[in-house]
Amino acid sequence: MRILIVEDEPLLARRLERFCHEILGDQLEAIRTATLFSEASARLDESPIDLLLLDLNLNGRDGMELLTRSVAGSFHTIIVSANTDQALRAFEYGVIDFVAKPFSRERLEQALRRLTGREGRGAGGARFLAVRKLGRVELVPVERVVYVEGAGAYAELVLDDGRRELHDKTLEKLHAVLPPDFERIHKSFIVRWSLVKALHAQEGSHYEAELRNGIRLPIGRQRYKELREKLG
Amino acid sequence: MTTLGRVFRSGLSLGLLAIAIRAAEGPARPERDWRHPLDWTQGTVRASVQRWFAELPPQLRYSEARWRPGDDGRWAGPEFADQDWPVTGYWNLPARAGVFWVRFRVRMEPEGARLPGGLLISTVMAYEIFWDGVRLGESGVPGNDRAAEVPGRVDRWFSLPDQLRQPGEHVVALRLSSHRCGFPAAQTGLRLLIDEPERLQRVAVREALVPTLAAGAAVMAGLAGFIMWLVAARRPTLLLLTGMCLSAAAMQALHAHRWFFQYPADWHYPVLLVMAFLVGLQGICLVAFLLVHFAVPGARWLPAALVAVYVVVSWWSPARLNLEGVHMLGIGMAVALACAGWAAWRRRQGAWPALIGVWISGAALSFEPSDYRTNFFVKFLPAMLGLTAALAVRLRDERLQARSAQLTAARLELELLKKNIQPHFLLNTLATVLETIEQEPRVAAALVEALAGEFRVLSRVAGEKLIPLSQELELCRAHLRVMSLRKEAPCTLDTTGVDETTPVPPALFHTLIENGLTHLRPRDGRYEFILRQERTPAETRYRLVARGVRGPEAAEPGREGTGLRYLKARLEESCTGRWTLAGGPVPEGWETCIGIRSAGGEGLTPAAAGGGLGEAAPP
Repeated sequence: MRILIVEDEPLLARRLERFCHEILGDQLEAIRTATLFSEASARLDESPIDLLLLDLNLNGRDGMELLTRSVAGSFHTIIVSANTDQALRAFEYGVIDFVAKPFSRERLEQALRRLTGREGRGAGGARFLAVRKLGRVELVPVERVVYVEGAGAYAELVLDDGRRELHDKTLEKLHAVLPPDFERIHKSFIVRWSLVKALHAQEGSHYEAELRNGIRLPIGRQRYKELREKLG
Repeated sequence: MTTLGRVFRSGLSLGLLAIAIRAAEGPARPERDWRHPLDWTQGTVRASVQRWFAELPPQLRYSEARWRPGDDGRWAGPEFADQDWPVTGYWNLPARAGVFWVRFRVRMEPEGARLPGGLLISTVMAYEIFWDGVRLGESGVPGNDRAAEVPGRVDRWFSLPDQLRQPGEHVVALRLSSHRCGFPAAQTGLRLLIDEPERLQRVAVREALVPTLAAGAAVMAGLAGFIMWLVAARRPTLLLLTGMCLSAAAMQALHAHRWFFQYPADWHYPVLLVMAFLVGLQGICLVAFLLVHFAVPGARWLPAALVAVYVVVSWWSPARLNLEGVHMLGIGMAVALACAGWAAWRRRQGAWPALIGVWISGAALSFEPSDYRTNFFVKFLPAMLGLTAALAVRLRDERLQARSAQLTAARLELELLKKNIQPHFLLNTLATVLETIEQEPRVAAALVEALAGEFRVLSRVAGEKLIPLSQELELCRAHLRVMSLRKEAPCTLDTTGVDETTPVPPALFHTLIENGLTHLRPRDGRYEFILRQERTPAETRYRLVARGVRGPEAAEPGREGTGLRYLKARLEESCTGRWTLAGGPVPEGWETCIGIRSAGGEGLTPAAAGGGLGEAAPP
């Protein structure tokens, strides 16, 4: 795992770094620290990261802009901040966790487990997905997303009006921040479960989910039985 | 022919008849000029005296008065022929000229009516009065020089016996001397009223009743104002209003006193002088009140100018009737009206009641200036009520202001405390403490100590409006100690030319330093702050330079945040309208400049800045 720590308090940056080393051990591939996000973000393309630990003061326009820019990235974001009253908003924007300062090792471990652990899910409270478009970031309400289709390192959000938006995150990472209603039905598809009308088994172990708007999406062979039970 | 002859004869006989009638009437005798007493006063006596004569019954007629210096008992007799005596007005009698006599006649019209039975004489001369040769009485003893004259009373009532009230003409003779009249003018006079005795008694009641009531009311109001000044609010306007009430009360009491307790006639002039002085004082109090209360320009020279005008007026006005009072009051009212008008034009709070009150009083005075001593409730009360209303409006506004200032102070204290327990500062510090406890316990101890130090100073100053600069610097340095440990970079504050006793709002520079630390990044591995203080008599100027590097995405330190809002609110609270705040980038980092203008020529002192009951400057 490659981690970037953005923290302007040197002692706290060191603390985060130390804890990451202790928790992740060998899993940690690279770790960098910066005092400002703008300094580090320029180098994100050449040296991509998996996780951003961001000290964020959401008060004011700058904080919000920083948040949307970070959640639009291909990496996960964990906010490490003293301003806990902003946690809810951070979750709405799709951060994977919000660690309040002062923090203990256990709390950070819990946050990191959200990424590495078996469940692999965040709090799932995202109400918006930040999409990078022509150099700026646009917010897509999660409630408009019908399903998500994986496209290599990216994911395509398919909205209720048929529009498609490209997201920098992988399908796995998106699944981690999307609400529990979103179900992974295929290695390339996440669908809003409440929109699924019926499951169909075609010939040749070919399974499909039929959505209310008539669209049919493929279902992974391993997932079919489980999903069948879930639909009842 | 016969007709023509008849007409001729008739005309002739009519003409003869007319001649016969004229002849029967005898030779044309010199008809005496009978007039109403008011008409005799025309042109010689001031309005205040005319008013008195106007009250007389219309049927009474006076002849012209004749006078002669010298002393002769026969001059009292009704038959004495005085045709060769010079005619005089009642108010053109000589002052300080030995004994002289005045004779005139009175009669009722139409003829056949009896005369009323009472006589009221008001004069400062000593006299004996004879009615148809009968001595009615005297007031004092006339004498040929000052030593020989005994002063009488100013007002004296006489009654006419029945036998002297027969219809027809009556001769009044007065033996007078005026050595002790006191008035500096060369001429003096007397007022003589003939009327029913009960009506004459009522003159005294009328003259004394209203002034008595007025004196009571005014003394009450004055004392109430004085007690308020003494206990509640030491404001000059309250004292001026008190002065106005008490001088009015004294004037009214003096006037009433004349009619209740007859004083010797030679006291009359000093008494009138005192009353004129009191009237002048009222005018000055009135004007000074308006000047101070509404901060009218010219507050320094206008009262002095008014006094100068008073002196000139008293010097030039005929000193006989002591009309300086009326003139002074008129001038005072005119100036007061101008002041109140100015205040209303400039939309000063409470200017309208003052203007209306002064206007009513001034208008009443200009319509009928002479009765200002007996008509307090029309001539003075409206102005006083107007001023009281203006004062009440001011007190109310100040109370509201004080309340909102109290709320502001409480809110600011809360804000300051909140600013320092805000998560960004406190929790980051605690997180650092956690880290250092685990890694470098000694640093942790130092950090906790520094944090405690900062909160100690903070809790000491949070409730204050102004603190000495030394305490403010202590607070700043305590904060910088915490931040030095947190940032692992030396954070320092240097001062030049600083007077540590200067009062400043708490957390003034603390806030600026906080802002600098948040928005700037260290230069050469350190954060440096330099505070300069420049003092001139007019202004105290602070320059705080934060040496650091402005980051690309960091907000400008001068941007309106909670910190700056707090700063402005604090400055406004302690130095309302006298402060400036400006900031801008400089090569070394960021410079903030705070200027505080001196309050009324003095430096910013806690008393000047925090005084709640002083005369508040108009917004």
